[in-house]
Amino acid sequence: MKHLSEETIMGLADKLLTPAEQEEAQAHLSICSQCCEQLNLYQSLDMMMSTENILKAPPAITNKVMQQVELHHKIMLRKANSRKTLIKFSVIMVVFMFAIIALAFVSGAGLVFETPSWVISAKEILEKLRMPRLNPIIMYGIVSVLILLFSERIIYQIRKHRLAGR
Amino acid sequence: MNKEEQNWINECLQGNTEAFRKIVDEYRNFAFTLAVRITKNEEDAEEVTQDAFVKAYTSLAGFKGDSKFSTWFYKIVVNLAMTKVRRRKPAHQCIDDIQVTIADDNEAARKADRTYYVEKAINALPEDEATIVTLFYMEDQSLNDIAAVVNLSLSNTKVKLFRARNKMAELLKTELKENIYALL
Repeated sequence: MKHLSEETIMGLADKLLTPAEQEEAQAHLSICSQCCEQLNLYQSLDMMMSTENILKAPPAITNKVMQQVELHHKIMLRKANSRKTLIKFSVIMVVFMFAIIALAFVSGAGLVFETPSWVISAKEILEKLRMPRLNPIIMYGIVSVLILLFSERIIYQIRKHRLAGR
Repeated sequence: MNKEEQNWINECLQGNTEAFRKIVDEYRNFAFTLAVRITKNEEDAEEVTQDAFVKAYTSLAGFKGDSKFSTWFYKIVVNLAMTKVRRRKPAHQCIDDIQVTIADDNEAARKADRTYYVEKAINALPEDEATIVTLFYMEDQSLNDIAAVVNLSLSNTKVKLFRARNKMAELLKTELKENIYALL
């Protein structure tokens, strides 16, 4: 006698067989104790798993998670605030700079730009290194942006450590 | 995803961290169970559960609602637990040393025995099969959801589930023989 396959028995336990397949399987089960035993085993497994499946997590998990979530939320808020402040400061600085230039032109005063000695030495070093020539104004701009970004990172890290310490 | 869950997520995204507490309470036990099944260690599972919730919170904005929230979240749990397992040698609990008395009239004792054998059978499975079988019996996870969580095709998931249940059934058969029915 050919026994039912494991797949068919599992399908029967999960009620996934078509009515025709189910009828055929049931007919076999009525005369085969071995397959019946196997079906009972799968049904027992299902019953055991469904009653004992979920473990209880330690209740302290919720508070521990919430502490970390609160900390993350505070850091993100501070970060957003410091970014806003930085953007406001940068806008004010740019407006202020343009205002001075505009005022100089309106008042008829000529703009004399005297290159500082450190820029000249930097240029010489760059020339020696065969780096592309940089306009001093662009260099000022790049250095200012780098300083602003660097300060923002330092402020963010200090705030993060302070909050974590609380 | 149900409406209540969607509301909690929206509230979290608007900055209400207390809404996340409801999500934690809802999924705490499921996540912990899944983590225990994969790491086979309660301490690691606790750590994985916490990390998974924090990661879910920090990447909540990236959840587009294409899948169920539970599927998305269980994927995080599974990935973190698998990483944990890969980083350390598997430390199986020595549950063979525990003495078990079967066919006790007391329901609590029977329940403890059932837990013992279920845990033992699951611990005998490799991590991926343990994950699939846990998700299969857990909550309302369909085979498609499970395949998405474990990052396998539907047919591969079916094969692995079939193998896992087969192994568990064989193990229970060897361990319990006719006593299995006394535990139900």
